[in-house]
Amino acid sequence: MQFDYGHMEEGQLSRPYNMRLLKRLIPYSRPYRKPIVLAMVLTISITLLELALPYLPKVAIDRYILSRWYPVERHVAERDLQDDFNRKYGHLVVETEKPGLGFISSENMKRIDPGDLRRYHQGGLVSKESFYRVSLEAARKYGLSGPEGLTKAQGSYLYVPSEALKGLSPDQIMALRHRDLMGLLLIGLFLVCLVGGSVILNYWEYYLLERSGQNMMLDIRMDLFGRIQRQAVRFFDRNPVGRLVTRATNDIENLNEMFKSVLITVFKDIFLLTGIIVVLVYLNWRLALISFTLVPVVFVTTLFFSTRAREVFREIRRHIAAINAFLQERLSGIRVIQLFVQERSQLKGFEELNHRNYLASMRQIKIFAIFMPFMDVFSAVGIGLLIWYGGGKVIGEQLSLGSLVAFIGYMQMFFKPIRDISEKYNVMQSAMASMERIFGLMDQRDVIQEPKTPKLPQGTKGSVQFKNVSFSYDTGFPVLKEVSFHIEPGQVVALVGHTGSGKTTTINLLERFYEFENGAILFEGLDIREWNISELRSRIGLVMQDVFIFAGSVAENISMGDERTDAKLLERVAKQVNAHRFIRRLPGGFDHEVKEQGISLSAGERQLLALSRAMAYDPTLLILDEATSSVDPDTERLIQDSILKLSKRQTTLIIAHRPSTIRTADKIVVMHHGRIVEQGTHQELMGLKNVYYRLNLLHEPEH
Amino acid sequence: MEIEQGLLLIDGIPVHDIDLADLRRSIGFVTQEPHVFSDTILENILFGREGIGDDLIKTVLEASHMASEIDSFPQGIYTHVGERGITLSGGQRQRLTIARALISNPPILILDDALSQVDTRTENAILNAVLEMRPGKTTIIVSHRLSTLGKADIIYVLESGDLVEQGDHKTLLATGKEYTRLYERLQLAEELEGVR
Repeated sequence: MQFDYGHMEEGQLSRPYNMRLLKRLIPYSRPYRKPIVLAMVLTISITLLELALPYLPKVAIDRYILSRWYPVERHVAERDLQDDFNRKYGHLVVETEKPGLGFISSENMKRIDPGDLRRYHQGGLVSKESFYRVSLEAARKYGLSGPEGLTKAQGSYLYVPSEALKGLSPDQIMALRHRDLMGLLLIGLFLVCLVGGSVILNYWEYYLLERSGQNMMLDIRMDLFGRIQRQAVRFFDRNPVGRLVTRATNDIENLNEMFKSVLITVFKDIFLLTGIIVVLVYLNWRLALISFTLVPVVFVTTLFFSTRAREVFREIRRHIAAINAFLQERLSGIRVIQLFVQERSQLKGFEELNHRNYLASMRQIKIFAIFMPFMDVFSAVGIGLLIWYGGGKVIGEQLSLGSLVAFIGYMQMFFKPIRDISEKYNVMQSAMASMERIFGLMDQRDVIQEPKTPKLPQGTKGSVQFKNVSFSYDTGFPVLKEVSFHIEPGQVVALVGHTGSGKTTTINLLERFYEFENGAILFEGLDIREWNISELRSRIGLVMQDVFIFAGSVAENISMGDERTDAKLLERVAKQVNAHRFIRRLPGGFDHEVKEQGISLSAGERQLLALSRAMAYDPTLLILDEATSSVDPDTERLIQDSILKLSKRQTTLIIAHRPSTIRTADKIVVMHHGRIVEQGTHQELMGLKNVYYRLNLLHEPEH
Repeated sequence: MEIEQGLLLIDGIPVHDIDLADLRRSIGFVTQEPHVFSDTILENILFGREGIGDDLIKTVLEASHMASEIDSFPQGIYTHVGERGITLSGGQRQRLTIARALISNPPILILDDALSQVDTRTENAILNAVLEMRPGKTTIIVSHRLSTLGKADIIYVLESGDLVEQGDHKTLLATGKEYTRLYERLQLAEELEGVR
């Protein structure tokens, strides 16, 4: 037997194969295209917000904290230099009321090419002396004055030499630099707003994606269940229930995991990575290139570790599968273990498996324990490089301090997406394996072929004809050989035979649970392959030996969800099959809740319920497959009585290995080793003194 | 399970007084449902028991009519069976579990319908070999086959939990009571099986 617990090892899937699997998800995502696209737009917005965060300190530092102004005196410089400056950097200058005198902020100074700046300094065009821009009112109060001939800058500001502020108290400086302080406050508020905004956007992004993902999984699960339900019985012979359950639960959960964690984070990470690169290059492309020297190293390291991690990951899955299989097998064979007094050796075997799993898990932990610090080291090296190289640039006035701070901030953000992407690979792999299994199951076509234009005979009463039907479950061993018999409308026909003679198979074919190759079966004079399957099955009431009772009310178990079955019909049907007495005795009557598998009911009561269920559909043919073989004598009498009543008004096929129950049948068909060996009435067959006769002797009541 | 009433003695000692592990070690029990583990054939037969010589393994395999089949398997006795190996038929599994029980040569061997999926002729041969291997030792056979009945020293006839008759085949048949009826019924069933 094949066991499968959803922990199967994953094989290596090739890339085109991956793409083909992913493509199959597209139809499922189609109904949720809008929320998914919206979520992606949100993702992009969130990334932009996140990208803005390290930029704000830069603005705070450069524009406000370290804000200095340098005088630009164009009238003193030579004409050529003047024109050159005006053309290139004129727009950076804030003019004053004194013609030719302007000021340029330290932030804007960084935009001037270092070579140009040197020439301007030499030509006396740009002064090296730094000024603060202070509020005019405060300057007057503290007796400060600006450059000569300049009493008033544009607006209500005054430029005063940096030196002039040195002797002042902190309070006085704060008052003078009121404008800078206000700027810092605004940036602080803005930062909080950005984070607040990103929290809200994150909520919606998560909500939309999760909702779409859950909906998609629901659809896939529904689709899977729908397809499984339509499969022929042969499919269920091949696929153990445990495997099907795993497909519909674990594997779909894996898929969901991939959808939300992989597709989303990877998309987000790639976007974030690109954003960081763009911002870094914009801030200072030289420094950006220096920072990027680490990327190949990080990439190779990540690849190395993720490959190792993947191997170990697979190994762990293998061990877990082995543990599962071991437990399953040993627990189902517990009697053998106890009989042979092998508890200790089994414990040892189990310990070995567990230990191997432990070792593999430890290897995984070690890999991550090395990998994570490695990434931290790279991150530190990157920041070290920035401090050394970038710090030098700051000293050389080629880079603002704020830019350096922003760089460091972005560098810290830079490594997380790389790590994320490598980590998600495992999830991706297991999801791919799950997807392969889900779609593999969906693709299995054991569906019974339905006719394109089913025919529907009218006004018939249950005639059945088997014409030379042969069948084998698995190629090779034939279960039915050239079976031919006839049931006339209104007849009671019995099918008897030793265990394994093919009686139940006959019914399986009639109900179209299995496809058969040779011969033909006619129901109501029409080949069953031309019937609509649901129509066919609803006309045949089948009561089996093992009755399946669903958890639910008695009424639901009889109507099987058919809304046409009302209380009156239930009452009538129950009376018809002698079930009403026991149902009335149940607390709540028809509304009595039956436990799963009907454990609260006796075998006979379950049988009566099944009989009611079959009759509720008002079938034209009633089949009783060993319906009374495991029932107490009292209930058996009840059932026999109802069968007698029923068989008087409709066509009935009774299957039995005990001939005692079918003596009064209109016709008895005797099966033996897949063949029909005798047909006739009880008297006729007894006269033959062959198979039926011997069956009777074998099963005659003892004592 | 515990006995509610009466006594069950093994070599004169009540089973309650025997250490459970010792008790189970002294009884080889082959059930109708053969349980085979996903392991090699050898490990399935040895089943954790150590210090068993190759000769004994060979004898046991011969007795359970596994030897020639095992030779045809890819890795012989080291062939994996079950989930990750070859799939054994019901009869092969039953014979494998008989080999498992024989290897410890227990003082008491119980075969509970243990060869139901083996054809009659092979069953006969296996039973002969098993009995030959165990001179002077107790073997309890639960069977629905006529051929098995002739081999027994004593046949106990159970009827709905009651012991109704006991004796050897001939004596029981001569009394013409429950055993005779059962015998005829079995004969009839086997005859019926034979009808083509």
